[in-house]
Amino acid sequence: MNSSLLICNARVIDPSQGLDDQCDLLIESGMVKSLAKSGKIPVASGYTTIDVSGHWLMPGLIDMHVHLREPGESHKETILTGCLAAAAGGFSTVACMANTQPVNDQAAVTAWILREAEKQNVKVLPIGAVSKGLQGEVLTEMGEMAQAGCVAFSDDGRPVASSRLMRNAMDYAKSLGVAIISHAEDPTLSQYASMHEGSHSERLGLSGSPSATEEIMVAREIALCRLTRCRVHIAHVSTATAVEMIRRAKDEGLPITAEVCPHHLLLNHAKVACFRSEAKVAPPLRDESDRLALLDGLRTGVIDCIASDHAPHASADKDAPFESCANGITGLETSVTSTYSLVQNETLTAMRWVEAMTLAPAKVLKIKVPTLAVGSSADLVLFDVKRKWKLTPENTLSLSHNSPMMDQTFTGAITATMVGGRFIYERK
Amino acid sequence: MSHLLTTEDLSLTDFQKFTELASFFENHQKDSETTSGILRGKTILQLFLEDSTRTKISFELAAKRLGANVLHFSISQSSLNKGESLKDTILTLNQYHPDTWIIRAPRSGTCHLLTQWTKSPIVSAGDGQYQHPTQGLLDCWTLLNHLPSIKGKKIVLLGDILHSRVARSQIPLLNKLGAKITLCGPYTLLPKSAAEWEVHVEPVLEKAVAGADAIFCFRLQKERMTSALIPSQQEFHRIWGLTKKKHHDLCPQAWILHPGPVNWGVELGFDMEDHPKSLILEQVRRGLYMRMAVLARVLGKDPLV
Ligand SMILES: [Zn+2]
Repeated sequence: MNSSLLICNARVIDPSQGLDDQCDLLIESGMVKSLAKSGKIPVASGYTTIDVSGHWLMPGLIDMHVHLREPGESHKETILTGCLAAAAGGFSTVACMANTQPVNDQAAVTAWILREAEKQNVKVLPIGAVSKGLQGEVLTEMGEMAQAGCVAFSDDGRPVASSRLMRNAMDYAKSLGVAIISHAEDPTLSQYASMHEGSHSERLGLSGSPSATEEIMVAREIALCRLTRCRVHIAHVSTATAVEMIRRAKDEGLPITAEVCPHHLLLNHAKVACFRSEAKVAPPLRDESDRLALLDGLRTGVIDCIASDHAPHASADKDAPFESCANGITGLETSVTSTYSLVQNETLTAMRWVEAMTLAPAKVLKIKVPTLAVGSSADLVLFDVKRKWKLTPENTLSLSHNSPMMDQTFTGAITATMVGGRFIYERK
Repeated sequence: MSHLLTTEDLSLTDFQKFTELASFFENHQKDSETTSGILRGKTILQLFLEDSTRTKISFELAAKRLGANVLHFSISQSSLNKGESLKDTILTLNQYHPDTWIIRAPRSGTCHLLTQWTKSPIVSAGDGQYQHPTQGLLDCWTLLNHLPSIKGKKIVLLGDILHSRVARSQIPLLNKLGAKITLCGPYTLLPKSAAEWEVHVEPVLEKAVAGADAIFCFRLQKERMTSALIPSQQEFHRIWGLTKKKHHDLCPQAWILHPGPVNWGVELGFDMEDHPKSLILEQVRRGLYMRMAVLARVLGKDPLV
């Protein structure tokens, strides 16, 4: 990009600089050349100017928890389609979980993923497995994998059942300076379960997973964090008590962070009735009181990040009786738009909302903090706060359609995503 | 009416229409000229994903008494696990244009799932642990023939309520009929959200059944032991099994119902066979007429309308 692009009249929200103001942004050679209050950047000849009044402009967003399904399950998603969905959803960076086939449990698989990722416009950061084959028995070569490009380690999709292995993983990860991400679920308590245990599971005759399933493991991870002082990140927090436990652990000064998914923030277990397979997810959609506690946890920063847990599945995986169909909800394309409703109803400030998808996940993964500071790469996203939009099977860019938010109309839409001064996505 | 998947959305009027028609069929049981033409030319497809000889026979006879053509198709869970797709099975059988489906399935919600793939109405013949609506209807109808009004009567559901599709079908109907419902059993077999079911919970049998007007018992599945929900059948029987003596001492007026097959010596004592208050065989007999009523109404051929 040789020419200069002047983006005018945006509400710029950039947590890295504590900035929330009506601004113009000048981009030259793929970099942020200047950023100033609207009207303060003199327009020179040769500038392409776009007026984005009514838009919010934010640094490129991070989704730190997605499943891209490659290698191995390219009928559900590929690194290519996952990146297209990410860009359409406003994300210029995604971190992908290790439960592929083969599992990302060795540097060669990490390198393969990164080779595929290099061809994409979105930055893909692999998360390596904690245990070989996600079997929960032997540690992976985390050192080599970190060198190959893994930014954190997790057996996500499966809990690490053995406390001893988890303790060792934390000790080892601490020596490498990387975080362990925990899918906190007691597998013996959630055995047979296909949804949250509560009034709906009992009415529907489905075996449920009580909130204690998560709380037992969050308590363990906190205890092990206290023991090892390794950085521990709790994935997809779903219960009120887990939020309270994380709050106390943070007050104690433990290096614990946490994320929450849009579906847990916006939906409760009533969504499962009657047997809607798109609403089957692990951890499950829980009670309304849990949902409200998650909102509060995110608002106050006890929960650091918003992450989609984008988990694409082919329709055949969902076309089965509820107990036997796959767990997972797609989220890359709806995460930003759906959680914007929380800013609209003033649950979250705009700054906190953007922080949860930029500064906060960058700190967990120890990667460069997304910023619109002068001199940085022009990675940004434009969000039209008034535009009405819905995800439909026809306009979905992900290969899979398993979302309970399908066909729901949202207010607010990503209109463009830019990386290095180049639009990688523009909504028509 | 369309499908019959649950009793939850049935009104008292719906229930009365079913019982009136079931009574009509009972009264005309010898009059095949009246009944055998009602579903003539209709094709009823019985799809059973789990074995159940008793329910199969009851539905099949009901359909035949009304003159329908009945096709029975069984497919085991194991062949479905081997990758034979349920959707494919339904789309295939759709080609025979069934006028209605009777579906029995081991996994909760299968009937709801199948409604996506067929235009014909579905009658649930037992859907996982979710619902068994015809059983709920026939149980309440049977009891009504002995207790003219259920309003304010003490009805006890005894045993494994948590995993019982029959209990889930009975409770909404009993509630609409004004019964005072008590659930009794060990807490491992009771729902935690009982308050939302508008029922009373009492784990102590002696307190639960005292003065009861009727007791609905449930079959205790062997898997409840293997999944460590109760320690043994023997202990279950000692504490929660209904025997002749307990019945005599605590609730001699109570009618005894059970959807069958009974594990004698577990949920009911051996001495409860042939008990004068037992309605268990009557439930089987009335089940036929209730299923005739359900099929006729689902297919829009209620002769009383
Ligand atoms: Zn997970």
